[in-house]
Amino acid sequence: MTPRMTIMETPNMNTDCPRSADLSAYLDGELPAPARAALETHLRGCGVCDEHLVALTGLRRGVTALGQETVGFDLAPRLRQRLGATPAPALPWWPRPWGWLPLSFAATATVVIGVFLGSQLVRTTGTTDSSAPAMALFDPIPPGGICLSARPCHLQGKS
Amino acid sequence: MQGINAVSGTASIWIGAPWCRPVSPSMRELPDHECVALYQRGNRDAFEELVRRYQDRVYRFILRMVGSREEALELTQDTLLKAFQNLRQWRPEALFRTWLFQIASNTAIDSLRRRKHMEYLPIDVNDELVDPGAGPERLLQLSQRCRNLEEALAKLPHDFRQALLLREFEDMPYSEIALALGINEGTVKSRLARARAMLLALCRQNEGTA
Repeated sequence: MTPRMTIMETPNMNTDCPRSADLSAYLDGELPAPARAALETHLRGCGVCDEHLVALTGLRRGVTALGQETVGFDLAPRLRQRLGATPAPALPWWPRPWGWLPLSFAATATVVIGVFLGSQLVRTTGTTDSSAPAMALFDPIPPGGICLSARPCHLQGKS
Repeated sequence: MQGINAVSGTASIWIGAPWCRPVSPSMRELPDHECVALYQRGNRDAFEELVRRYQDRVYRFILRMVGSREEALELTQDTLLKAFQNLRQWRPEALFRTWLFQIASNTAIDSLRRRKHMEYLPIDVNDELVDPGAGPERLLQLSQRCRNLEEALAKLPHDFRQALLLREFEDMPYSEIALALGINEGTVKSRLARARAMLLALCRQNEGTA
């Protein structure tokens, strides 16, 4: 059995050696089955690679043990404050089935009001006498006039 | 004070400050994507659960990227804030964790770039990190080893360090690291191998000079 070694005792290994990348991936369980089998065969006959794998395993243990720090308090209240009083729903409004409702109501109301006002106008226009004083301002004959001519008669010396 | 259990819809009672109210046990069992869906419907418990799940993990990752506890705390908050503000951009096809660490990684790198010089202060090794049951000599040895490892980690190029931290702290598969860092899996493999080889060499160097 290979004796366990510390990082200090591990023989140096060329970092560019393809086996170095494979050993690292082997440690992570990321080598495909054929490559893994080939490397395991190699490891049985290569002391240097075997020792490097032992060192990598020890290194992993050491690094994993480092990650113990904590924030020390709950960040949620601070974040909620920064995000706003309540977390804003992040879903876009349109996929919701009720998302169209206010828009539909507004559109329907606009059409109904438009139709109602339009019909009122048509009805008013149809029943109004064109000679009524209120509308006479817009007639070709001004109120009180009898001449169809656009120019008043007295301006032409007919008075 | 009364609240509604987000999952079952039943009423629950809690005593104490609102931010101390316990998150329902069933919420803790929900996968991330379901918590996100609940949060998107305005559920506050889901928000608290997601923050509780990730605040320390994101903090540890950022701490080892920037080296300063105060800055790491600030950047952790920024990361979580960005994540919750931009949840619309997250797609359930990707893991929430991958997406969150992608933001954490970008936030840390941006902060490092903003610095005039890329100085990294190795983190002080707390005695609490070392097994309290060990004898004094062993304690000293372990503490020294941790300090050496922290110093060595601090000297790694940050693209190598990122990959290594995601692998060792988060136990991410290569495919997920690749997504989080925006690189391909082959690059992840080579970065990890080189990071480990460099770390071994630096540790040897440190232990030799200690």
